Amino acid sequence: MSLGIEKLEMASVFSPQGRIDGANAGALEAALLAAIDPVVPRIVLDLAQVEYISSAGLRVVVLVGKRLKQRGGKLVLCNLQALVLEVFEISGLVGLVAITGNRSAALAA
Amino acid sequence: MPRLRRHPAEIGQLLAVLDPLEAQGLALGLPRAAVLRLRLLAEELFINSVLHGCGRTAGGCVAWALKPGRTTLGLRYLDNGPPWPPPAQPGDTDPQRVGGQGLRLLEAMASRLTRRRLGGWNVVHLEILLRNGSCLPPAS
Repeated sequence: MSLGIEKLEMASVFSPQGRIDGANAGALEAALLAAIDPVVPRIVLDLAQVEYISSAGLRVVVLVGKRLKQRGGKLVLCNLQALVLEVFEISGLVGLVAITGNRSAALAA
Repeated sequence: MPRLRRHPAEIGQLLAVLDPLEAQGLALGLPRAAVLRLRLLAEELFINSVLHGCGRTAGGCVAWALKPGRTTLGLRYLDNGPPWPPPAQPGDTDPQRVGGQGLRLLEAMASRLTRRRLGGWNVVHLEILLRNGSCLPPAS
């Protein structure tokens, strides 16, 4: 997995590429937690280039979402591919985590 | 009978388990989407073994074999840990209970999932449906 990062005025946008699994979820977690901005505690996770996420990745999403919420911020996911969306749906996280269809909507959410 | 591949139940072995599984599936000509799906379920099985089962004891190991069919892709998976806990009970649906997500994915994404205890091993057999049938040649 590689990770693109953009710091925008409204949020930090992370764009992982590849797979989020038990082998790399820890690195993603560390990167996201380190990027939480105390002034703008808002992260967009653009999953357009992620074809696979396991429960290890879900754990990161839940953890980072909670951490942002504690700081008055928000985690928003966008551009989920079919398998990734299915995993979120099965996990029951849809509705608990903000998910939008595209990046513009994520930044506006 | 497909040959079982065996690995220590250690987290550092994750890709050593999953990469050959994926490569084997693709080499059989199976649809990539189906192979990725099976990889995901295999990861959940392996992580459960490592974190909650035989990975907690010396000598813990797992073994697996693909079982491709004409309309399904199967996986036989074994670990030598303690018996699995009983399946989740109805109502046990807290989505933020992190440890439960792997089993939830297995139960929802496998078209068939059986598990039994055999000679000190947990033996799991799961199948996923191949949407357009397998790419395997007809049996001769």
